[in-house]
Amino acid sequence: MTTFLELTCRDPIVSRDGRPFGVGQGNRMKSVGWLLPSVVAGSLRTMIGKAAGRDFSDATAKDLLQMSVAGVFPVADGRLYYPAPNDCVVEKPDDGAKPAIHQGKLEAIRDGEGCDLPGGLAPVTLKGEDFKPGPKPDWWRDDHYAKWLVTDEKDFAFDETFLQAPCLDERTHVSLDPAAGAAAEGELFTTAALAATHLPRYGAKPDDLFSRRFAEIRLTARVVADGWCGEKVEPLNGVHPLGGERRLVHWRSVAEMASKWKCPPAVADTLSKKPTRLRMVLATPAIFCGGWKPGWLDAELRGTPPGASMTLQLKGVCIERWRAVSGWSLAEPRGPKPVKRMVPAGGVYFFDVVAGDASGLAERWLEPVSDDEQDRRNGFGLALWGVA
Amino acid sequence: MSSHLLALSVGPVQEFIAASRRTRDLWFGSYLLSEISKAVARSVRIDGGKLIFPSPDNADELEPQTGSDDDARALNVANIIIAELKDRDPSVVVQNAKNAARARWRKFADDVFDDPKITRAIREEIWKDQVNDVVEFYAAWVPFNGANYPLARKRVTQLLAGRKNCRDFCPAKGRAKVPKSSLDGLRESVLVERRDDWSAKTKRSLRVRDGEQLDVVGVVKRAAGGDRPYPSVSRVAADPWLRGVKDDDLEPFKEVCASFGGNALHRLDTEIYPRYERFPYEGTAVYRNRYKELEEETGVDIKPLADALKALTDKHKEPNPYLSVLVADGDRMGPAISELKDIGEHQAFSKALSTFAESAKAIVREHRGVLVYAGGDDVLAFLPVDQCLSCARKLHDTFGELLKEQSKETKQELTLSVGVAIAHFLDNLEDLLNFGREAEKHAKNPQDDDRKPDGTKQEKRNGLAVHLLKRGGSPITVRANWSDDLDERLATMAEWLADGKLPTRLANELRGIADAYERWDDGNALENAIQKDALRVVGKKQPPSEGAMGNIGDMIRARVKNAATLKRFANELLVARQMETALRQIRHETAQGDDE
Repeated sequence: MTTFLELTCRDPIVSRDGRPFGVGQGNRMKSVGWLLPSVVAGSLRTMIGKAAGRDFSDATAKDLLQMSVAGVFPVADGRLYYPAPNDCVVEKPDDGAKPAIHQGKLEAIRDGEGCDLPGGLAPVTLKGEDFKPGPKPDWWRDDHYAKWLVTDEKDFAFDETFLQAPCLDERTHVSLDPAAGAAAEGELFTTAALAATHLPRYGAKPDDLFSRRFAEIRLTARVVADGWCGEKVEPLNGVHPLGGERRLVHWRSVAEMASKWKCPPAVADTLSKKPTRLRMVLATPAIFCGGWKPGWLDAELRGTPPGASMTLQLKGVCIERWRAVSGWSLAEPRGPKPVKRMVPAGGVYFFDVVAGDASGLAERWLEPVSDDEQDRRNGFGLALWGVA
Repeated sequence: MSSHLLALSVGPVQEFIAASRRTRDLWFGSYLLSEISKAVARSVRIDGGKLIFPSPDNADELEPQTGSDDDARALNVANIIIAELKDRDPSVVVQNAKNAARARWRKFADDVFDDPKITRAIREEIWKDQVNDVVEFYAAWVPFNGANYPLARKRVTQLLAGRKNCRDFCPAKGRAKVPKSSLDGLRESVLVERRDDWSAKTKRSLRVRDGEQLDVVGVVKRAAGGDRPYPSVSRVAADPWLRGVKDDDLEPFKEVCASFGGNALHRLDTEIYPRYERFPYEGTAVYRNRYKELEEETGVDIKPLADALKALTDKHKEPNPYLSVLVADGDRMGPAISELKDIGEHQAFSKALSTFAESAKAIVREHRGVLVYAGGDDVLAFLPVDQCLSCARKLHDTFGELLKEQSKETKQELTLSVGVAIAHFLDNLEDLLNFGREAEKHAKNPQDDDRKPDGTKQEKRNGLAVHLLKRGGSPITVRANWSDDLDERLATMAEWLADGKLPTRLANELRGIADAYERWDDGNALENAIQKDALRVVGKKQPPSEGAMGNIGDMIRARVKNAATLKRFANELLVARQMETALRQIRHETAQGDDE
């Protein structure tokens, strides 16, 4: 049973990086730029377990871990937003003219040229001029994204419908010395959280009205759950913490959200025309057993994504440096979880279609491509598909 | 076999440089990256490559550094290497360079691991998981027959950028129940859980706080290259105050510091840091609020030091805790490099930059600062507050002078933009760096409300920005092109304040007036009203000694047209006040109204 949730944040949301934080460990919390999928999955599973009055025994935990949780993404003015793709680079001219937008392309290596890319991959390059990339919007609306995935950069422009990363809410706390009634010496700590009720609009002027500078957002998640978990998720409507420090969010299931998670018609139409070269963009960070390389690709970088039916040949990659995810396990072995390395959201993989039909990928829109089953259930590696 | 142009890049920059708690982490991380880059350049040269960037005069300059000059260690080879290969297989040269990079890193890591006082603190199995998976390396090459160098350079740069778009990496060998590095959280800690049986030597080498965790990179940055101390941000912050304390008062305090025998207080090598000879210890020694942490890190009873400091501060007040972070970066470097016609011109360009880096070392030293790195057109240094502006000016002028020829050749005006952030030494080191980088960005790009004294727009680049980040309150920022002499204005105002020729609270009152006029429409009436209001305040104030109120009045008449211009003027006075505090400490005086 698939349920779509709408989350309304009441508080700034804590989604920490792996640095130790707490008494005798670290006095400074650092936030990641957006909620990690596992934070959302963990919070929802706890909420469902509690809603069902379960005891979090091994059996309960097993059932809860079977739930597939995807997201969260921002929703503003009724539209879904995805993180900016890595194959977009902005060139900002000195004279204040409109920024030029470039799309990365697979570069043909000429005679005598070379690079140390693994597996004979081609570099993904931009146009040849030297420039320092300018800032690009962090969150793109679904229709803009669809356009990016099926056309090139011509006529592509940024406006105020593009959104920026959430503002960081940093709070400094002191520990009071009960005897003195004053701040205890050296007992100072800082928390950092994502202000996820509004996202700044791209290009907004600092002296504009608040409503022009910020877009009010909700968050959306997709849950696939069966049995007692599914029964609890389907009518969900309540307040529960999301992330660390018990920051509160209103969670409710919203049936009309379903259409927003579907492949946009423009993309589905293009995929149905048997394209020979594809782009896979990661809407959430992915965890692959080969590090940067999906485990479903063989030594020749050829393979089939989970749930798909065609064979793809990897031709090029445009990904940022790895980031780490860990967390805290309440189950045994209790304590810090092992570090896993993620390909960050926005990473782009370029493929040639070797066998089969790409049209089926429209059905795999926002489905996970990570290797491990549990990582997929935790929402890592949701993929968007387009042509190159 | 034909000839090629080869471009190489080494990392990880972020982990080596930005992830730092102690100044030593930052300094050694930068040095580490430079040493790995040098090893790559050396390998390419040994394989017959002709180095273009960097372009050392002789092979010795690429030998692994063994000397004891920490300032020289701060002279960096940038993490990009460009070379020409003749009749060599580029893929073989690249493989050798990659091996050299890894071997250089392993040398640092193995030396640390083999040190008995460190080995006992390390979990060997986790160390081994991590130690071979640190260095990042990227390479690209294009055929080059000697003709049309700009085209070949542009193409190889493009291919290298394309190569770096694939940041390939291995999966982590993570372990459950192990905390992550406190510096960046990217890997598990390699430190053993129980620390109570660590020897004093182990504690002194690692200087970890209770609960602090370090991964393999963190331990190498903290413990490689010997125990010799590196000046801390607190030493730099305390410098003006220490210069103001009389010898007779300082000597007994130094004796107490010496009695710890290096167990609690690192002693700086005065041959390497002669500028700190007057007080060659960590600055922590003069800030009593750091004693708890000092005790935690070293396990030494700090009471004798606390008593000695009390005697000193009873007489000389408390040292001011602010220092400046200077970040400088060359302007129009990319377009200029694109204009270089041949390898010879590019090599000369590289040499001019390395001469600048050498000069930067001397300039920072002259200004009693600590160079963290100087490589290519980049400089990062910590400086006492009273020295930062003159150091910035000298760096700017020297850069322009040394790259004069290249400016002509490339038809690009090669200038240096400098950002200076004045902040509290207790601010997290990562934040201090970010403050400096923000100021440098501001120096390059004026904001809409940055204007020249005559109200016209400022030009991009070739700028100086000073950001004052007081604890509590929003940052105060000032920015100007170098031709507007912002540095001189600030220094003069600071002198007037220190000499008692201006009342210290004038700046706040002028800011108050600026706020009151914030939403008024521009025009003659506004200019007239705001000037009169500001002059009224100036006229009402009585400075402690005669002198500069007339000058301030003239400045107001010339510069103040509306709320924004008055605010900019008041901001300059506020920044000058921070500098005045440093000047008064040198003069062994306490600033009026200075509460820190």
